[in-house]
Amino acid sequence: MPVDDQGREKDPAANLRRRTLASSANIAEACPDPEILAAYADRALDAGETARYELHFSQCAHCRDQLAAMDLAAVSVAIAQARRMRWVWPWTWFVLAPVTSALLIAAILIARRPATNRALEQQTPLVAMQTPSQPADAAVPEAAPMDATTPATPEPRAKKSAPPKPATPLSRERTPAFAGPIEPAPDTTVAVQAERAPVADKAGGARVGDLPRGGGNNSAANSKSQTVTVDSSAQTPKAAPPLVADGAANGIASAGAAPAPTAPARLAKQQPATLNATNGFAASETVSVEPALDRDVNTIVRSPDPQILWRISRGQFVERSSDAGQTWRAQWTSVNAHVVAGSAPSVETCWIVGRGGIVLLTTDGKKWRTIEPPASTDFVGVRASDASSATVISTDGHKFETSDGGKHWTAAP
Amino acid sequence: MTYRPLTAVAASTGAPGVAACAPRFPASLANAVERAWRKAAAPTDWDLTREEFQAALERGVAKRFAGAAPDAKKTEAYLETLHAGDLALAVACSKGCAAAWDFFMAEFRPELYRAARAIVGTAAGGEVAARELADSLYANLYGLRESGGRQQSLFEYFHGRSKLSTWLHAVLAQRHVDEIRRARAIEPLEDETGEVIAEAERASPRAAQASSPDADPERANYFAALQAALTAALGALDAHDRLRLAYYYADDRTLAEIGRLLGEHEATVSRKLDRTRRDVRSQAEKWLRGSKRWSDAQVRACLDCAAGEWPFDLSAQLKPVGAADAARAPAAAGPKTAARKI
Repeated sequence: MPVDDQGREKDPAANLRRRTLASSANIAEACPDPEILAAYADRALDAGETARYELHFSQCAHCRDQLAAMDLAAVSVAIAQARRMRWVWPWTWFVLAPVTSALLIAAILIARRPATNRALEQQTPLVAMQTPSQPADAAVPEAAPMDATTPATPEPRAKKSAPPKPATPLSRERTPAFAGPIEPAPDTTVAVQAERAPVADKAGGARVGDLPRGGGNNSAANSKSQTVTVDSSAQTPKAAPPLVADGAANGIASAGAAPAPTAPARLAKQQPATLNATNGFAASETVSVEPALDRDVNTIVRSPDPQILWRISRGQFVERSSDAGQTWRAQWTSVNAHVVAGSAPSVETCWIVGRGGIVLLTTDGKKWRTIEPPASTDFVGVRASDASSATVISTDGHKFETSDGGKHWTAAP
Repeated sequence: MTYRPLTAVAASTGAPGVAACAPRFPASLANAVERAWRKAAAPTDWDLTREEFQAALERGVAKRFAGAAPDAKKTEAYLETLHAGDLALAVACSKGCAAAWDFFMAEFRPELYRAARAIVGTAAGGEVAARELADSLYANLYGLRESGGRQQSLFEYFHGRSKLSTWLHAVLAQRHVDEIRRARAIEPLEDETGEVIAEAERASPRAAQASSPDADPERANYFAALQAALTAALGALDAHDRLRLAYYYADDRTLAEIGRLLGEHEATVSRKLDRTRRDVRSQAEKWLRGSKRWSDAQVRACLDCAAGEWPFDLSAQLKPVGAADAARAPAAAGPKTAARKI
């Protein structure tokens, strides 16, 4: 028959008192002191001591009463500790949960970026012309001679003094050469984007070389150059000059991509493009970009602050860096969008344009808004002097300017 | 009733007076002492020196191995088991260090009050009694008691064998139980067979027999014999099993309480109690057959007499003898049989 608690006193303290009052136990000489009782309760006695004292306890109600009282005390302490843990645990979770979530999100974002870049590599490089700031007289790699049909020659290109250092983040922003058609603009202060000739870096991949400032950090190749850049036989129409990100206030706002209407298709066939790293582009050369380990075919939009950069990725993402390109934070994306160029006249202002009349503007460096375009056409370039004043360039060479942040546009000469 | 105040108890079990003669550690224990000192990690504002701490260790070892000179290995093993941090706090408090007292009050005072409330219970006046119990302990811990012309702190009786909180519970418990006993007058009973048997004897029908001239003398013989058998059976029990029985039958504790006291699961307590009862019965019957040379019938008759009258609730546990014995046993009739079959 199993042993149960039937008929047992429910109030332990009252039971202790009742038993003690009813007990006839005499305190024996061998009764241990509180230290032994405490050591026994903590299971700190050795086996011999435990057996000896348990025998005494079985015969001594006085000791058993004390042990029972100690048990009551221990239970009360354990209950109080359990209540404290129940209070602490939820708060611990509330603190840890957001931290864990933030880490998880950061890990996902970081993991996405290389995949995005790898996908970009497979695309025909549009315009990934990216150079560090260069003094006005900085040398640039020799560009291919301009086509004779080119109406005007852009500013003379300076020779590149030294190849870009592979260590700089920007230098890893590889841009296979592309050269949009260089359309000499009537206003010489606008264009020239000297064609850029990506220079092979030590990693064996082509990367953005140095370009002269003033006219922009990137080169806008003429049609032949563009062809050279991506396809020797490609004849790029006289589209807007490929513009390079240059955040200089007075610099030419440039677009990373200068797609001719047919260029994208051609570009897609050219992967990987190869470059003539030493001689720039020849008119009939096929320029290809050799893949590098961390090749990135993005468009970089530079601000006056070298640390502040924007990046157009896959034409669908706009990212911003505040550490000269070491880390990026996505700010805008659209699945159906195809943005190609940008201009950042300040660290917080950036204009982005693209196909289908896309015109984007941020004035706080974070949030983007869509600006009503002057025309439903593909824009391939933009030049901005501030958050209100900008000139966008369409693929057919038309320019539209605004001085009120895009509320009103006028055709520019 | 003989009440032994704490100091008297302490004196017999290793008071500071004894500790003053505690032998010094040999040099071979220097490393063990150093480890204990590091483990204690006493803050500097406690003003506790390594020598004072070592003196406390030496007192503890002297008490632990009183009457025997321990070897270095045993002493080292013993030192490793000590709660060094609590010991350092106790020594610093016994010295009267204000910083140590502040720490003690902050860490242990709330728990002490909670423990006192749990021990005293929620009866009328329980809160006041609990507070008085805890406050009286503080006075003794601080050293307001004088003994042998000097102020003595209760902390001097703590040697680190247990946690300081458990030791404080033990002191509280002892004071509470002694206070209850002081509140009643009892006649101590001389009994050599242990508390369980003493209670059983007190409740035994012997008293009824003495007062009832018509009582069956045969029953008296049965009870006396059964008492001796049970005494022998209980004496043969393991101390742990015996204590379990005492908690359940003598103290009317619940299985959960017994489980906490013995460090067992409630179900384990129930199972082992059942096994112990069967073992006790088996041993008692064996003793009756062996020492008394009783027959099965006499044993059965003895148990029948115990059923319903004996203080031990063994009636439910006294099962009929085995089948072979049942064939030889004479047929019984009447209520005793029914009681036996229950």
